[in-house]
Formats: sequence, structure tokens, C-alpha cells
Amino acid sequence: MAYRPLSFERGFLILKKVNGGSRSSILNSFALRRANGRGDRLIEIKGLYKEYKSSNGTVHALKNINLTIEKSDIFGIIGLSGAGKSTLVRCINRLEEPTQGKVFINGQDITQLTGKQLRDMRRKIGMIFQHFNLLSSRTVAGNIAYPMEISGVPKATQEKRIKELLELVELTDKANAYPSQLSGGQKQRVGIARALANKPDVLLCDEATSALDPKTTSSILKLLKDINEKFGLTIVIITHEMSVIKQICTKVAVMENGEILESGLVEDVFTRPIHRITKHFVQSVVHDLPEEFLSRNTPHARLLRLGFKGPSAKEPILSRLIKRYDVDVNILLGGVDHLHQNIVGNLIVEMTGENSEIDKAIGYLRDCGVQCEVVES
Amino acid sequence: MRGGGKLNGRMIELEDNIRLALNLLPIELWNTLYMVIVSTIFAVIVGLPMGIILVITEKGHIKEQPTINRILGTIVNVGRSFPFVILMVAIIPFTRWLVGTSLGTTASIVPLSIAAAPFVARVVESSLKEIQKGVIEAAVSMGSNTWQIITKVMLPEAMSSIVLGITLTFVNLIGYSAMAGTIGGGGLGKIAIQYGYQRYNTFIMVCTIIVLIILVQAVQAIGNYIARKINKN
Repeated sequence: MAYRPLSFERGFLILKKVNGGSRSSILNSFALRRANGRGDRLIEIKGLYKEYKSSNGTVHALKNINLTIEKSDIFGIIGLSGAGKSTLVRCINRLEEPTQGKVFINGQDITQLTGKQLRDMRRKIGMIFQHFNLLSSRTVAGNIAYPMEISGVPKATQEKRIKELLELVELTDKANAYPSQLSGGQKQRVGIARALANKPDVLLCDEATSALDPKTTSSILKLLKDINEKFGLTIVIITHEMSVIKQICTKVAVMENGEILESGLVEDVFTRPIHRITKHFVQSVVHDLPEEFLSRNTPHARLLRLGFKGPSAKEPILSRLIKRYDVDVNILLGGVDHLHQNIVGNLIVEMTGENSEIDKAIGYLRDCGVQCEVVES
Repeated sequence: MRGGGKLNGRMIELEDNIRLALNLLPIELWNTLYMVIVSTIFAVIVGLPMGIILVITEKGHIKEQPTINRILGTIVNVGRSFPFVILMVAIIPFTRWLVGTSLGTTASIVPLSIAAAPFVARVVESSLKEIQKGVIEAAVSMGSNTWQIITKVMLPEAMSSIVLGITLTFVNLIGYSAMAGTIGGGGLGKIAIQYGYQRYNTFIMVCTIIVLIILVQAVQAIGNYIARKINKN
């Protein structure tokens, strides 16, 4: 077990556990990155705006988006429908034309490209879609061949690559099937194989699992994660489902009304959510309390939401609290989750007792590093 | 014996009619097929690119060109507003200039093709519009150029529907070709006019109708079969 630098943020080097490799080589590579001064920035979006003119005036779909995606990131962009996340990802391969701002891929400003240059750039960006968008008139193998055909890859190379890709997505036996004969999950696997055919630098996923059932979603996400680990492929995922972010993303940006509200490492953003919408997304995976409990705040009982992160999740804090203070604690809801290799606990409890004792108990919890929030009705 | 004589006379008339039908129908059926097949080919050659252009120049499509789209749309609409009989008469000078005569089978091909081309354009347009936007978007995202999108994505994806549209055009042209018979075109229409209408020969009339019905059924069946073979949905 060794570590490799995951990112360099807010002055801290964040290390990720990886198999193989030595620590010194990682530090060397880190020193190299710093020497280059730019890290491994794959995609940089600067001051991006997108406006649509409609009969009812101008719609601001994107407002001053600034975003950096580094090599080998699995970068999630989460937001409700209409937040502008899909527009944002479409600006990366210019399926949408930005109104203003710049998008750099590997240091090249792609907003300036035209004609053949633009098409060549697109061949290095894979994309998968919510509704798969496969060619119904072609077989599975034919669909995977398409991107290679249009970029003039020789037939023999095509066939070899199709075989590799079919093995990767575990569809070797379906090579000659047509899309209409496949299940949703299988169609998306074909979509992934097709997107990878030209060995892209980045894979854009536009709500790629939203049309799939939870079990299939999980298997598709696992495949994406495997590909990321095997080939170091950078993946950008657009979703409205927190569970997708939770399962595979390393970093996340939360969008609302065409703006990025907060972004950073998944465990940071989701253990310290700032905006209402982020809290909403976090609650969607840690489950929330039924409405009727919310009206139970009385002078001698308080509803608390407790957040445990890292070491505090493993300590018997509540048990000590009850011994030390004259309060009763009734656990209403809770769970411990893995958020990208970090253990995160979330509990909703009802604490009863004298007000002063409750205040002291809350103070104790905060001292132990537990996030403590009174749930208002 | 008088009744027998009458019957005998009718038998002879029927025999004559059958002989006449056997003489006329095969050759005129061939003439009809010749006119309709050649006209369909010309109509597709002209109408298919027009249909493609109508789709890709539309707002939000791969080659947005509102002006071209509007001009072409107007041309197609004007072409389709002419009742066929009027079109046929109106372009007689053009036909004469092109073929050397305005009478006969080959001359009929000119108005038939001109009438069918805008029809094919609309049929192709509606077939191509059935393709999901996302499929074309995916092709764009993979770096396809316009020609590749047309030939490798749009046409193959819409082919089944285009085949049904061409079958529709073919059947329509069979109808139009009969009208061409009224002003000196050849084919089954000519027999129906000359023998059925002008000489009150009900037998020939009925035979012609039966041949037309069989022809239309056969063409439709073949079209459906090909479309089903192509369709992978």
C-alpha cells in the first residue's frame, strides 16, 4: 500500500491510497508537478457564460463558471434538472457554444477551434448519454466501429480494438446483436465501449445512469471506476443522484441556477455542506426523518442531527455522553456510510432532559469533533 | 334456338374480349411499369437530396441555414400544389423540348418525375425527422463531418422508413400514370380510357382494374418486406 497525490488544494497535499509504487517516487512526481507549475490540469473552464435568447427574454443557463478538472479525476457535477449541468458538460465538447468564456483542454483553448480542428478535438473526447444514442441500424460491433471508421482507423486495427473493448465491457457474446436486442445496461456498456474506441483523454457522462435501475446503475458505475483505475481515464459525470457521486466520484461540484455553489473533494463538500441544495443532496443518501418527527421539539426535548467524520465515527461517544450528563438519548435515524474511502456517520437523535444539561451535552459532542445541529421544525 | 344464338353471340364477344385483353394488358402493364419505375428513380434522384437538405438546414440541425431552408421549402410546396392533370398540360412545351414529343410512354415520364420529386422530398424529410436528435448529437460528439452524418447515420437509420415512403410514391405514380393516359400517355390508363370509357367495354375496364389492384398489392407487399428486412428495431 502506498500513497499517491490526489490533488493539491488549499495548501494541503491530499494523498490517496494506491497499490504499488513507493512513497518517494510519489513525492518526486509531486515535486515535478510543482516544478511544472500547472499540475496535471486536463480541463480548465474560465469565466464561462451561456445565454439563450427566447421570446420571453434571455435565459442565463451558465453564469461565470470556473472549474478545473485534473487528470484521472472522477469529477461529479450534481444539480437538480435545469441547474445547467448538462449545458456545462456540452460546452466541453462544444455541442453547445458558450456565449462567453474559455475552455482549455490540455492547455488548448477549444472555443477557438473550427471545422476539422474541432472534429479532431471531439474525437479525443468520449461521451455517453442518458438514452444511449446507439445506431439502431448497426450491430454492437458496428456501433463500436463507427468512431474509428470516421477517423480513418484501418480495418484490422478496428477489429482488434473492438475485441478488446467488448472484453472490457463484458459483451463479447453480443458482438453481432442489434441494440434493440439489448437491455438498458448492456446498451450503456456499448455506449461506453464506443466512447472509448478512439482512446479519449476524457469521458463525459451526461446523466448516463439516469435511465437505469439501481442495480444496473451500480454495475455501470463500477465499470467506469475500473476504467478510471486501469487507464487513468478522466471522467466527468453529470447527475442528479447523490448516490452516483457517493459511489465513484473523487471530486464534486454542486450546481444551481447556472452557478457552481461549492466544489472540492467529495468528502469535504458532503461532510460540511454549506448551501441548502448541497444539504438536500447529502440528506438524500443519508436518509431523512419523516415529517411528523420534526414537530417534536419541546422545552425538554431537542432533535439533533449529529455528523461523525473520520475517527469520531469509531468512538463510543454517545455512550460516554449518557454516563456523564443527565440526559436521555433516543436514536431516531442513522447510518454509517463510506464516502469515497472516508467513514461518515450521520445520526438524528432526540435528546431529553433539563435545558442546561442538554446544552452541556451538546458542548461535549462538539468537543469530541462531532458536528451538531439542532433540527428545526 | 334464338336464345341459343344469343348465347353463342355472347360467347364469341367474350372470346374476342379475352383475346383483346391478352393482347393489350401485358404490353400496357409493361408500359406502366416502365413509366413508373423510371419516374420513381428520377424522383428519388432529385427528391432525396432535397429532403436531406430540408432537414439539415433546419434550425438546430447540423447545417442550420434558415434562408436555404425557406427557399427550398417554398419550391417543394409550389411543386406539390399543382394538380397532376394541370402540371402535365402546363409542361407540355418543356416535355416536347426534352423528349421531342409530348405523346406516349417516354414523354409521360417527364411530368411524372416532376410531380413525384417534391413528394419524395417531403417523404424523405419526414423519415429523417423520425431519427432521435440524440443519435445525431452523439455522431457530432464523436467528431463526424456532415457527409459522414448523412451517409453513415441519417440515411441508414431512416432507411426502413424511406423505403416505405418510396413505395408510397410508387403507388401514387401508378395512379398518376393512369391520368397520363388521358392526354396520350401509354400504359394501363390508356386502355381504361380508350376501351373502357370511350367504347363502353366493361370487360376490358374490369380486367384493367383487376391488374391495377394486383399491381398495387404486389408493390406494397414488396415494399413492406424490404422495409421489415432493413428495420432492426
